[in-house]
Amino acid sequence: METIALIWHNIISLIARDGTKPLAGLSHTKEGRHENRDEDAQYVALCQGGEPAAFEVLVRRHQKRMFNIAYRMTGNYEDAGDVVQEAFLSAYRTIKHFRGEAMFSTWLYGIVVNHARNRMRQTGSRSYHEPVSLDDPPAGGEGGPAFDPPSRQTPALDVLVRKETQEKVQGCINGLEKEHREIIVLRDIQGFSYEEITGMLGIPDGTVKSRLSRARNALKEGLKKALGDL
Amino acid sequence: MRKCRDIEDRFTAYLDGYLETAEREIVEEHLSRCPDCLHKIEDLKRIRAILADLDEVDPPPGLTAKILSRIHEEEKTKAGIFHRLFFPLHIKIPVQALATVFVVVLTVYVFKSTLHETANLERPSAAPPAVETVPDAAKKQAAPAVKKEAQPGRRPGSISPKPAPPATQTPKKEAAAPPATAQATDTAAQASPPVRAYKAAPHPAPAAERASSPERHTDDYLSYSKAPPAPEAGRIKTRGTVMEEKGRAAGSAPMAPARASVPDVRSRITMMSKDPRQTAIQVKTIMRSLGATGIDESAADNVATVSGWIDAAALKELMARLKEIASVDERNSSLLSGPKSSFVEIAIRGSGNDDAVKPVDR
Repeated sequence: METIALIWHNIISLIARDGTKPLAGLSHTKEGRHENRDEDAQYVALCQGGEPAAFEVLVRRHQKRMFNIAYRMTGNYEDAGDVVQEAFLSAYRTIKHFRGEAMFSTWLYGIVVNHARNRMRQTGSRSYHEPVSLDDPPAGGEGGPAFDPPSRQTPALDVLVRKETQEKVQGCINGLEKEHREIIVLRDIQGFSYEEITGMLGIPDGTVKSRLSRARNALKEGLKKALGDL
Repeated sequence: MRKCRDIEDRFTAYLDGYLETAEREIVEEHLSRCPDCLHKIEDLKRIRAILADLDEVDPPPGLTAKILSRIHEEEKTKAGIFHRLFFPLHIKIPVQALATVFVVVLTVYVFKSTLHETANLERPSAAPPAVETVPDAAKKQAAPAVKKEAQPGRRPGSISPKPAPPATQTPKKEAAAPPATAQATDTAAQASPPVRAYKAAPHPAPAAERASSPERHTDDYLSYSKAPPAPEAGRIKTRGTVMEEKGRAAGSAPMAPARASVPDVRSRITMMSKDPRQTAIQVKTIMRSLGATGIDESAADNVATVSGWIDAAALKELMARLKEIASVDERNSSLLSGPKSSFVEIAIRGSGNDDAVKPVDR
């Protein structure tokens, strides 16, 4: 009897996993997010109940992803740090208003997108008009972003080539219109679902789709120019 | 061509897995036949792969600490704001409540005390007789003594408010005031001595003596008028009321300046009693039984005053009932009924004073 139940459970979970499995290239499964959501909710409730220490957990949990969103949107390492700080601060201030209708992470990433958008507006279209210089790429380590090397075994030349390519790609992203930039970052780099993006940007599903379509085509043109061939 | 554009529109949804099975099949079927579209979608796939392959960037090492320290600061300032906003609130609310209660109590107290004072001071109905003539005013001083003989004849004259309606604060009356005051000052020279006598010597004999010597009265008046400012003396005389003078003399409390808020309708009844305080209690009982409100009592030397608001309809009954308990000096009484209720002030004088006044009149 128990064996039958176990098999039945496995079948169910397999079906469920199949049904929710996203396409290749997306780093976060829905299942994983639901887990996060549950864990977040616990700490969010603590924060809302006047326990500021619980916010630290949320900071540690989400700061890297938020930083990456900010970095890819602003195209600037320092700006991204400021944006993340501001976003966390305003999240902290407004966490009491978070009703739990959406996932906490969606709410939080919406805040960082908003702050990154504001930062982009403040810095003007600086990065838009000044594409990344290929002759003088920002140094890694202290001055610039430290990328995770794909593998420790990768030859130094490959690392350099890869780094250069990535900078070119970022340069192309920076050259996009702001609206296109944020949708590319959220969908194609961060892998958020349309629903999540809808929640973060406050735009309808159809707009996400059409904007993404235009953004990808624009990026395609840019990348073709920057990289020669895709 | 149009077909290609339709298919291209679905590329995004197709790549992201947001197409229904049927639509996906349509796209795939088209891609199998159209190399252009296939090329395009391959490009898009590659772009997606490039973007998905972008390395994650490590945030600067101190970022977490920075965020947390900023939140800590926020918490501090929030606590500061919290304190500034709410801590005083705990104190402020009781303070404000206390202040409100204090203001209310003060208002009630001031109102009550001024009501009492005005009840003793303001006698608009007495004003007209005062500005008539000297003899008239003198007679009034002696009124208690002559009340019985004079009652039928003089009562209308002294009570009637017709010559100058009481407390009509019209400019016309204001204009007429100065001459009246001047005249009254003269009157005062003669009118005041008997009154002063009450203060100086409450016994009948000395009072009579003093009343019979005009020079001394004048001196008395002059010396008296030196203490309070002259205009005030004049004003008091203008009212020309024995009771008031007596009240002043006996109470010896400095009077508040004349108030503009004299009740429009004010009845005054003067009574004689051997025991003014006892009578005052009876009067209060009567007033209460007649439904009077705001009953107030004050007692000075040999004079008890009861005041209150009474229904105009009950005025006559009040008078009748008062006559039952003690003699009413109708010469010094005036009954004025207002539209609804009337302010009544009943002064009960000790009958010993009657004796003091009687010789003056005779």
